Amino acid sequence: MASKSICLYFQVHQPTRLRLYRFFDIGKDSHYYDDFANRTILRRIAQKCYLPMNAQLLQLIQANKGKFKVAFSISGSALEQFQRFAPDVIDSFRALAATGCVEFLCETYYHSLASLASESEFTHQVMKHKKAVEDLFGVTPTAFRNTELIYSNAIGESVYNLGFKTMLTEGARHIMGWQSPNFVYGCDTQPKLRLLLRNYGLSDDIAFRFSNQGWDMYPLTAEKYLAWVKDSARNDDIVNLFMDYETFGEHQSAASGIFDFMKALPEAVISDGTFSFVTPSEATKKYKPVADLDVPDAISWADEERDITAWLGNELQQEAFLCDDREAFHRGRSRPLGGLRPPAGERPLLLYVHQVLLRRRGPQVLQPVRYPVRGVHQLHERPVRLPDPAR
Amino acid sequence: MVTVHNAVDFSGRENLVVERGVKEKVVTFLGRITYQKGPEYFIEAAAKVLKRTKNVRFVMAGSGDMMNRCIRHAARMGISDRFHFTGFLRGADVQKMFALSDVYIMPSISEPFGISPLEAMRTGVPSIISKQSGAAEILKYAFKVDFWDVDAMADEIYALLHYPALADFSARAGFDEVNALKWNGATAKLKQVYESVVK
Repeated sequence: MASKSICLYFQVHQPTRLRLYRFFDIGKDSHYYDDFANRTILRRIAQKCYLPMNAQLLQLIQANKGKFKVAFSISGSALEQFQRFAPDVIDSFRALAATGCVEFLCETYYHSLASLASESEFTHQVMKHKKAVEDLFGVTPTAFRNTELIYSNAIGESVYNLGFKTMLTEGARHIMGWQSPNFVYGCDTQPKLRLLLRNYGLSDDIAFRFSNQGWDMYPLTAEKYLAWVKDSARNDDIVNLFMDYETFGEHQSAASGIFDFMKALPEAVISDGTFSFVTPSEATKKYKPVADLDVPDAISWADEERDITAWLGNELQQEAFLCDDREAFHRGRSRPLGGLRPPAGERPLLLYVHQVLLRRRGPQVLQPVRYPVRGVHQLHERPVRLPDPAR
Repeated sequence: MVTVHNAVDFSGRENLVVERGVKEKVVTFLGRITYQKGPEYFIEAAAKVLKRTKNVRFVMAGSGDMMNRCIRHAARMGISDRFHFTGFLRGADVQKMFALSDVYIMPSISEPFGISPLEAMRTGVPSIISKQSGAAEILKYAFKVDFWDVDAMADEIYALLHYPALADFSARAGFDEVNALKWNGATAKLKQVYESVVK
């Protein structure tokens, strides 16, 4: 086994979209979901992304006889919708689970902000998701990723207390400073929790910039990319490539060549021999943490800020979240919603309303809510790669 | 100078019977959400009322250039759970909205006349209007406040919601008053004015 590793992780989520709901409907109609949109969108993405990419991954895993590995986290909302509208997708994930080369992670069932709000709600959602993964795929998750890779010291402690030893999060620049994300780290307040940090430069090269013809590195080939990966990890252990699964076929269309790229890349990596593929749990067994990371305020993989302002940045979001420290938000300070507040009289929380609030530009209260395309990838013109710490 | 006031044509309009969806009382603002209509005063008054009672919902029906700002204002006041924005209402939805309302409010900063309170009163909804509107000159049974006087507005709203005798009285009296305002009267007066000038 090679001394350096690549960890590939894909996030699978589909929100349960809300229908147009008028004031006049209040008290008369309690069906809030847009079944037509949910079914149509899910089936479309299944055809363009989930089914073809799962088939390709299965074929790559079988062809490489255990050398190619990937990890997934599938939200409970997505699992429910697959069962309702696209059970063939569940079957294809089961086939991947059966290979033994695919790890399934745990997250909050509803892909929610529960980690920022209520310890009991967070626990409930995590346990619900864990059970769903066990029931559907016959595997018990041992690694964890929080919604949008939201992480803080307090969240790390809670995740460890729920029984997970490995957690994924973002290699956010304002946390890392000069340090490289290409190592395993520990949680500052709970060092037994191992952290894997997303290398956002290399991950976004595939997820965001791949088909951007204005990019000065276009077109991206497996050889070019492998050279960058080797360069980035010259003195490091592991390169974590975490991205949205919809990258393959939906955000990056089949015509862009993304499927061919993702077939050539594993083959190039394996024949090159510098890196071997690992799953998250294997990664934290293979490498010792080089340092502990102190993350007092929550980080995430969203936008430039890599914090939680995408979902809790404006008054409407804060009000719906029933934040009791509005002063801090209004001062523009990054409020240390770094973790789970003590349940001093827990109030009912509009956690599921977070779907409505994910839209940054303010509510379109009259329109059906659409899940936003994550991040600001259209704005990245140049590749953002981390400087080599040795230089 | 002679003022001839508007009337309202109610012929051909049935009073809708609409089943209520919400348990609480409903206070409605209906009109363009723009500076002259004073929507921000409505939001401030709503926040004051909600400090006293939770058994009420506020509806801002309409759209306009200040709508997004008002939505954020309501959120800042912490009342979004009791404050609804319906968007622009067309045709029968307007009548439906009045039929669902317990109080109608028009806090206009400047309004040449303002027909909507008459429509509300015709549907049996007690109305609160600003003194700075033309309708205030002729309506005896609408409650008048200065547009900036948020405390008075909150008082009137609270009173109408909690004193059934007051609400019933002003609904009945307002209905009779508005029914008596016919366009025939306005055109007769206009004819008089022309005749007096031509002579």
